[in-house]
Amino acid sequence: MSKVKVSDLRYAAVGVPEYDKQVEFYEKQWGLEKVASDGDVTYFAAAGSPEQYVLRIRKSSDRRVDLVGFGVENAAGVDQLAGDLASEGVQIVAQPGQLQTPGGGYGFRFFDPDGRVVEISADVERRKYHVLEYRESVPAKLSHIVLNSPNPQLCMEWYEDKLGFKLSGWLGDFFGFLRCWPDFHNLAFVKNADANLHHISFELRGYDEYLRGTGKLVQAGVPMAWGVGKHTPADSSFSYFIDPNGYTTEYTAPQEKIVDDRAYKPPVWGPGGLPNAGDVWGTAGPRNMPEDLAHTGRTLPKDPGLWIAPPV
Amino acid sequence: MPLYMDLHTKIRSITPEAIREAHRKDLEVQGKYGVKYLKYWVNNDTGCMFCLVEAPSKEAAFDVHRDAHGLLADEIYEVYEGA
Repeated sequence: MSKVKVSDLRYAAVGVPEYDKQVEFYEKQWGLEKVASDGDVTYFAAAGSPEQYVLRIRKSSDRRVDLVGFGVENAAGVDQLAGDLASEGVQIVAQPGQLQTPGGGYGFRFFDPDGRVVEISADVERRKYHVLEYRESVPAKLSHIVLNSPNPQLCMEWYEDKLGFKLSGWLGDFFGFLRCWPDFHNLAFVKNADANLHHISFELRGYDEYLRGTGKLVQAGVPMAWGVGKHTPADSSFSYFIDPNGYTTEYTAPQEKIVDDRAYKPPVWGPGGLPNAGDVWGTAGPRNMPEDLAHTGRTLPKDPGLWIAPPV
Repeated sequence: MPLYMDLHTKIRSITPEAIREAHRKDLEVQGKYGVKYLKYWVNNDTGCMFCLVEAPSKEAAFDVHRDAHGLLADEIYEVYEGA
């Protein structure tokens, strides 16, 4: 029996102390759509995505990553993957079962090598969405999640081996890119002292919408950490902002796609990175991302949620 | 039935075989959505592709690509044909 592969990135879930401010920010300024709220948990969808939700925010005394959600093709794949991971010694957090979150479905949870909680699901009902129009400058979808790790090499190999991610490239030996469908990266790992969240990225329809959206946030006084600019890896444009709980959150335009996995040779830009790889356009200005040890010398504390399952 | 042209850009590893395979998968899936992918045009050097499709909506055309291979268009426009 062949291994089950993750087929899509579904959502990021975070716990935050400043819950009301976070919810208001992502609804009123970031442009996500609030689809459900259950006490101290709010679910947000992106207008151009059929995913029931792409971001979950939970009220928490600690600022932590609660979950990273991925999809597989069907419920049988959920069961098979849960069995395979358990037999390989991976600690299962929640056994396969019906999900009680928006869209339902069938899924399970486990700890990854750094102790993050990952949810794998299938058969989640699709949400009604619309293809975004010209000048509609709100997120079309969740683009990717970047995670800090003390051992990115180990994480990269683990996600490739256990979950079927494909390697898209490395920036030096400190920033690895993975994909689970044609977009260049849905997931990435960066070398840092501790495991925590580097940033969450949301894709807008195109360059016009990305710049209009960026301008709207700048005009509203949302603190910008870096941008506007374009990276060499993924040919991805970036505007990094700081959300009300201090997480870095990104607007980007569509990134590169890889259609022929056999013909594609993952590049290594390096070894110490690539001159100007971070800012191809030369427009980005000073870099001030708090998670970015390599460039600012600062780092965040270890995520307090590692090896601890979120309450919901 | 509306006629649409979609635009894909930044495809890094275009090969004729991979695009043929992606189109074949579109044809397999499209009946579920009442969609008919008709033709496509590709520029290997620039990583650009255009697909001509009859579909009840833009979303239906996107859903076929999503289910078939995940290679979604950047943009899609309703068009009419001239000569």
